[in-house]
Amino acid sequence: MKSVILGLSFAVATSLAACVACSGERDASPPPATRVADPSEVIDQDLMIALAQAKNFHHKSKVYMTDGNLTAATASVRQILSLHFPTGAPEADDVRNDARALLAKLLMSQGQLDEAMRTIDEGLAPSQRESFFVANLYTVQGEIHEARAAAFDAAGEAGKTSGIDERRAAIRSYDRSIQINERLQKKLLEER
Amino acid sequence: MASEPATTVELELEVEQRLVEEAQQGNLDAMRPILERYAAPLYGTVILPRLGDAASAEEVLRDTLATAVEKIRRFTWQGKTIYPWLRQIAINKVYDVHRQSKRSRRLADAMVHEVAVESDPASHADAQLIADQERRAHRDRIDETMQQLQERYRSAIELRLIQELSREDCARRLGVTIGTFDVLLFRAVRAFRKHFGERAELPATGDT
Amino acid sequence: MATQDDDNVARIPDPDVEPSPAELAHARRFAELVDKTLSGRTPPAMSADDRALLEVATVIRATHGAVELAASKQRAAVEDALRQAIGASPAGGGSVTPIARAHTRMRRAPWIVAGTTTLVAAAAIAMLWLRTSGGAGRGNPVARRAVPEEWTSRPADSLVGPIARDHAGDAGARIDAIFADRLDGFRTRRLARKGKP
Repeated sequence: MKSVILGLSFAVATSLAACVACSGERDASPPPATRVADPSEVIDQDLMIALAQAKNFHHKSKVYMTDGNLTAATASVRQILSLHFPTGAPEADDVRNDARALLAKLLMSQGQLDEAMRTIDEGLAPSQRESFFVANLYTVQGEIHEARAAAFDAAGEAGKTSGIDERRAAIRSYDRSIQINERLQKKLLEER
Repeated sequence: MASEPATTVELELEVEQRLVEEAQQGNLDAMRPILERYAAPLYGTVILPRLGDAASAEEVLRDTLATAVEKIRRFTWQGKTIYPWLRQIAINKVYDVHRQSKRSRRLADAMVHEVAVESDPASHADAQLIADQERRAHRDRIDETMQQLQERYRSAIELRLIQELSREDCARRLGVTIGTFDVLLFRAVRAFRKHFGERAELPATGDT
Repeated sequence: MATQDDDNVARIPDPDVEPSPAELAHARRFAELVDKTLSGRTPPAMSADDRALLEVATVIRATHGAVELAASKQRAAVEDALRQAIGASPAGGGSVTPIARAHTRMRRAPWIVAGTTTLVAAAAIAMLWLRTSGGAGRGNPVARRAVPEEWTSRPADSLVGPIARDHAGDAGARIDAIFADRLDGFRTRRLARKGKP
């Protein structure tokens, strides 16, 4: 028993001495040559929880869609927009924008074109970073414009001008989508 | 006496066995060539003909392949290809999808009685043979149902869905307007669904 | 593809029976769905009845080999499956020593514990000596290892790639890929930190 205590004491003493010396050395050293990521940038449990919840809502929505219950499917996707993500996590914008694109398509399939367009606009307005998901929002925006154009066409001569305007708007949206995709692909290739 | 050269099938079986053993020893990436080989027949002959929805079929395929990798340690090599095992996982996943949907629960129940397409274990039949058998079995079921339709409905399905001619070409061949052809196809598919669904409720006869 | 609403399906009219306006509209809608499906653009949402009919059409086509899985989707399915499965299995071959066994070891050889701790302390002192005497290169700042990218929260663009118009609504598939990828990084980081968050 005595030998154990002696050995442990010696070990603790030398460890402490080493630690004191190390800290002294650290204070005198220059800043590290490579940047160490801020702890808040790493994937943490909060991010994983948010992603898991988004996944679940999507799966739920898919089951409702299979059953033809579009109202419940829409509600399920909408809940993704209220999920809490860690502040500043880039995945938050991507997941929410993706959900908006699907939400807009669901609303379109139920004839709610204005609500669909509002959903897209609400996603584009705060977006500060170009991404494939933002490009996708512009694609869906183009589809909404096309659907509006078709509705004006069905109204006959009275809707002709509006139909043309909507088709022009569709082309502008598709162009935006293509430009963002091209810029981003170029950037990603350069980063490799 | 010199030994007979191994046939292509036997060689492929040997390679497959080695890959499975490697995966079972912990190198799960060894499953990659196996999954790449069987993804298409699983999708085309097992999953999609039972689900009918391409997006759901892709998801079921992903789940099937993931389950196969996760459970590879439970697989016991029996001298024949791993494909029947993969196929059974896929069928179970399809069954789960149908069970989840109230709409197709009757079909799920009918699938419980489905006779598995089995190859003779002694013949080392490969996955291609099993997939071909399955494709033929599906086609027989489809053809049987088609025979129960009226001739014009049968033609509408053959021209549009099998030959994939345009609506205009289909209408021209049947001597009708496009609008009339749309109605013919609509009624044809509804009739097919009705007869096919009735057939799905019959007990299996044991043929493959 | 029997469905519950088959009970409501009346006898299918003969080919020559004049369609009602409702049937005409429904037939036109179905024709457009078939059009889109044949060109690979199946809409993500539709009524239950249309979905059931489209499934029948797909089954007929699939049986005649008209529906094949694109090579890119095949590859993606295989990659997803491997990523999901490999992420779920424990990395490394580390074994967990039952606590009772560890206690037994200690009882039999108490000097092992003291000795090991002493070695660790000695190693720390040796590291300190190496640093201060220029063992690692005089004048060079110590480069702390940066965190691997796969451990970090970051945009999902490089994972997802450009989103084709046909897949504009496939957010469900993309969230699966994002979740699986981030789970990989989360687990690897935790393992490296020996279970600490």
